Amino acid sequence: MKITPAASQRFVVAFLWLITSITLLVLLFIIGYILVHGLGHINWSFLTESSRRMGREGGIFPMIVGTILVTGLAVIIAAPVGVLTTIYLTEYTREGKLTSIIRFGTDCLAAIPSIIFGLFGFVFFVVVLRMGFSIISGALTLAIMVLPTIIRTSEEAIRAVPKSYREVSYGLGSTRWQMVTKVVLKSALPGIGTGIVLSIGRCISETAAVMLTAGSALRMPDSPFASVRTLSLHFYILSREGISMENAYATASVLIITILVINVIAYLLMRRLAAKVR
Amino acid sequence: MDSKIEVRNLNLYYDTFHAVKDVTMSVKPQSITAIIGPSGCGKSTLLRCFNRMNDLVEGSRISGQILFNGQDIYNSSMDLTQLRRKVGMVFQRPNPFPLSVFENVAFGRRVHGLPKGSETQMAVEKSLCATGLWDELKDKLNMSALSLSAEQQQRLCISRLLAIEPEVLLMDEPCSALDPIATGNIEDLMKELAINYTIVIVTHNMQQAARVSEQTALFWLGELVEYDSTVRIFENPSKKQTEDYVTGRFG
Repeated sequence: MKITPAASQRFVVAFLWLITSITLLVLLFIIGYILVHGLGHINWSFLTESSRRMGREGGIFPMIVGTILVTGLAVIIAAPVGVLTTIYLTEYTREGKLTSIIRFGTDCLAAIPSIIFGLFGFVFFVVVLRMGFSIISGALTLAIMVLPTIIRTSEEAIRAVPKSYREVSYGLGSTRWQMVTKVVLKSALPGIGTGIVLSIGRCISETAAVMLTAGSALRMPDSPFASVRTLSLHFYILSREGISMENAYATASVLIITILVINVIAYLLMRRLAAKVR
Repeated sequence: MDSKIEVRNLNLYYDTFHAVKDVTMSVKPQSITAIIGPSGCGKSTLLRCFNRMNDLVEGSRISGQILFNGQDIYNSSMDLTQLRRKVGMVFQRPNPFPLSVFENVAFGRRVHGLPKGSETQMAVEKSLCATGLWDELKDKLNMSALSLSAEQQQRLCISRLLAIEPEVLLMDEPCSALDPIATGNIEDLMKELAINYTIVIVTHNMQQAARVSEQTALFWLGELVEYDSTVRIFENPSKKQTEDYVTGRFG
């Protein structure tokens, strides 16, 4: 039997459709499995109470606070450093050896497993700088970890700003800094924002680096130097040490829903911003 | 009559490429001067010297002088910000910023820290009136400039310059992205603006030069072949090369 082009076309379409569905199904299965096992245990007191008996009972409120503090601080540190580095790389230097070294460096940094960042954070922030297992050690470590993501995504966004905008801005007599702030950053904002949201997601879901730097205290933190346990670490400890699978699934559900909500909000925000500048 | 811009023995190199060769010419105030010639003859390069946009090109060097109102613009004491405010540029493709109509026109004023509020509003209105956009757009000032037609966008780019009160308008093939009707409208606008501003236009289109300009310069491989009144260049040029070019025998 001879295969006609039309038949092979139909076959390919069906095959691609199948592969795509498998990918989606696996994803939906994982999320569905966790939500099915976890949602039933989530209630108001689970979200607002401290945990008791190592997490066997009670809620996850201190972990929610810890996650917000560590992630928030990490992004507040990493975003300006990352964006300013990118501005330097794209607008203030000419392409050369230095820029390619910096670029190669950030790429390497992006490929390093997070536990190595954790080890570095432990040695440097926790031990050498005597910050101890703390919010600040965890946040600084995560900030270094997400820096390459922020730099790479902002660089793409800034490079996508048409050259003509820069020319016109100079042509009207603006300085380089005015050009950067009034034209380039304004048009690149949706892209930069996407990078920052990605980083928030990475910080929230990070476990290894946090365990080595922020510790795993169950208490409510009372200072930036207090140890906290983030949601993902809480989930890891609950399941790894067999403390409570119900609460582990419930914690994982909270994590998944949080990340989904952040992504949806970010998506909508970016779309509004993009509509403004396009 | 004195000159607005005077070019004296100007040479420009991009690395080893000699793009503008020993050019001397002067531009009359409140008139339209056209620079014509085939692609790559250095006409846009020369235009970009007048507000030092070539400074942005890596490896460009110049020798010679350009005087604007009698001041050497390549002198180290020249304030580039002020130069570019006084000598503005309109580009080949209409290139409004992805901002509202109002913000586009107000952009230059913000850059130069000019008074805000009602003065900016008046300047925006005046600049849009000068390019004939006010009646069309006065109720749509918050609309994105990117949703305008190509001709409106080019008018807007001219308004954006006028809002910072320039003296010279450099136009680098301002109509090449426009259809013939829009081209005609922009040409009429140029003639109106020439009452108050000095305009230098680079164009591929010889008819355009003949229609709008008072003086015409023909460039060939970086050299100024002939520079005279437009009437003489097109009707009675002194050089054979000019005659061949304007009658379409080559180029």
